[in-house]
Amino acid sequence: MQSLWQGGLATLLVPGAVAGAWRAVAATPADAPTRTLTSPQARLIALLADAILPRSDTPSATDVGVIGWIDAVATDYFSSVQRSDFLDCIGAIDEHAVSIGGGRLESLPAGVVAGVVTSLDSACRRKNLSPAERGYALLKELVVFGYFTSEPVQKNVLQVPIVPGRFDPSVPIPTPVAK
Amino acid sequence: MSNPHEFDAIVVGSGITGGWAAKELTERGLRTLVLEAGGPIDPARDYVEHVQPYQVPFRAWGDRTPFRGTQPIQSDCYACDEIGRKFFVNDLENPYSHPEDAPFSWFRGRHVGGRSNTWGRQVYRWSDLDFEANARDGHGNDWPIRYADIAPWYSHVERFIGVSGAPEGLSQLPDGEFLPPMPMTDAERFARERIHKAFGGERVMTIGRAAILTKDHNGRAACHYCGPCERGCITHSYFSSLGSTLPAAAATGKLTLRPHSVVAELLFDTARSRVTGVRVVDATSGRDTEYTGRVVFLCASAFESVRLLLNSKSSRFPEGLANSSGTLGRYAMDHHFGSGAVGTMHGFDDRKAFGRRPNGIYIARFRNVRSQHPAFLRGYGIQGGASRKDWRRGATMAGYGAEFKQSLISEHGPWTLGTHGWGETLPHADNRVTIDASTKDKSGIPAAHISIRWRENEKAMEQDMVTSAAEMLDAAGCSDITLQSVHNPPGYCIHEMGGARMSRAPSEGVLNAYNQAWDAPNLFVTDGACMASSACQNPSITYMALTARACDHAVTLMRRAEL
Repeated sequence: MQSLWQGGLATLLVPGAVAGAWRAVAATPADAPTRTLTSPQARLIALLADAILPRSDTPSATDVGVIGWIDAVATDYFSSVQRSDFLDCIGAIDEHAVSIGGGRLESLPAGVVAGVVTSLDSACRRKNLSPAERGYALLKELVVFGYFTSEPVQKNVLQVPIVPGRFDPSVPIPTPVAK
Repeated sequence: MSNPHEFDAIVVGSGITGGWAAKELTERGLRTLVLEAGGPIDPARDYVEHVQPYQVPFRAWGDRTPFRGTQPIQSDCYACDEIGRKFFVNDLENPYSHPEDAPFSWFRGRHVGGRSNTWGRQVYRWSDLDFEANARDGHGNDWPIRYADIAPWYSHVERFIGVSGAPEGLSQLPDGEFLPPMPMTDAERFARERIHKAFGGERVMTIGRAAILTKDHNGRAACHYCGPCERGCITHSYFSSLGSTLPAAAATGKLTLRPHSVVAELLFDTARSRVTGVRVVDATSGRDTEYTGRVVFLCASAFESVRLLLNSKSSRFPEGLANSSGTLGRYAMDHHFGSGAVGTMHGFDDRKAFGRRPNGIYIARFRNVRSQHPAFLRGYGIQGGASRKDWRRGATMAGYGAEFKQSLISEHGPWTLGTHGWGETLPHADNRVTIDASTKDKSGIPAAHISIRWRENEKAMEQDMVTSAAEMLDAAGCSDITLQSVHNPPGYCIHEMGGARMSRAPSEGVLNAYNQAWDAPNLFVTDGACMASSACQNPSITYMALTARACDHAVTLMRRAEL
């Protein structure tokens, strides 16, 4: 019964319009044309997204289509004011890179990029953020959310059961084995 | 062939009480018409509890900007997100007003099943502590019934809908006829014991009593723990009109269900002092139709029923039908809720839960049970639960890179325990629903004007919710206890009630002890409008029990030819 739910019936319950909307987003690969983000903006976001969630034995942010999702949010979700503010803040991240690293983010060597990201990441829990820090904080939220709600991560990494079939209040967590 | 516009009974509304009225009346042989203002729901097509975030464009992220334009009020409700917003009205087509300095959040669903599709499913019996409260402290009128009058009907409802819960033997929160309880987490069980010990047994934490099946019941399957009940349930494992009472009514062959039927007014025969039927505006064509019935049950939701009565004017009742007492629309209430505290639990980091339990914990009312609190009357219950944070903590957590990602995948945040109050609101004559004649809905029907304010008793109680919640978290051994005063506006709890209260005398209220209008004996109002006080428990099971009891009474009178 459980496999029927997970494998078939649950999918059948997705309304057509909703499924269509997902296909439109999911069909956007990392390097696909974007509707709002310019190519430099998309490259900047991709660089930061994969710095936050890089490829390891699990996919990176761009591997699972986070850029397409952020472009969809920027295009169809944000109001014009929110969109303009978001893009301005993304631009400010590059200006921040110039001021502390001596060049636009994508032109910098990996070690310097890491320094820029570290400076933004350590600042973003303060109040009174600069535009670059605000842009990074929102981008990090979008990257984390977009990554962990993506189909590949939900299904293959987190292995979230759509229909658990039971509630167990106390499951032991295995102690990690040191590699 | 019978007249298609003539019925034995008309029920206005198909939600939690309309479904019960339909079931009880049809099962007693009455040809019953149920009028629903909204459209039909097909669970296979419309329920979305298994839709995953990656199946909707914005993955239910953010502040709901894209649909705030048409649902500026509804989108404040936790359940009105990108996936579930179809179950909430378009605010532009369904306007209401409130004083500028007294905001009211009215969360509504117009479709077959009403808000029984999205409700919170928590069900708690009242006790005589509640039914005697108005008489005891003088706020509001004395209820015309006591616990003994409604107890058999609570059982009647529980046996049909299925309620999971644990008996605790508390006088202020009577036990019901329970299915097996859902289990508490280790952290919750630990907190229960520590709190019980710290407060001398006065504060009892139990698992939530929920209209969700923990085993197969009455042809419905047990819960499969997918989580978001507010988006529907294809197995009907939680109680709804659509999955339980309406099918039972349909099985009698006596039910006619008419969606898209907005009842604009009740028709009243002054000479006979009887309601003769209803005038309906078809929501799709805009055409008027009339239906007649020997009895009419108003189950449209509390303030919609009050609005309908206020809009049903006649020479006999120029201020609204059944309003000879002048109380119609007054003593409106909601629960004030949400203030409390949250803290971090320790000692359970090697454990996690599997499955998404659609239920939490409940701490039964402890204020003004054994002794009188100096600052306020009545009391509150506490709802909450213990859980661990998942990957969502990563949005504001320090760090980036491969280790950061791996920690979000394989590690869990700390166990946190949240405890928040749900408080009784005193009935007050100036908390009321009137008609805003200058504002009309899509069908041209004058809108409601809702004016409800939290007053001194509610404010004092809210402060105590925060203090007592923090005390209990401290007793449970929590660290990092954060106090939370939320100041939610009236309406936010979605427990609006009152406005056509039951009373012992015609001069005191709109309805008698059987929810029967004093001024029109064949009119019954059995949704939340009938409530003379709010208690602090989630109210739906009391509405259901009162509805079943009123139906039994109505049919008894009809058989005696007294109606």
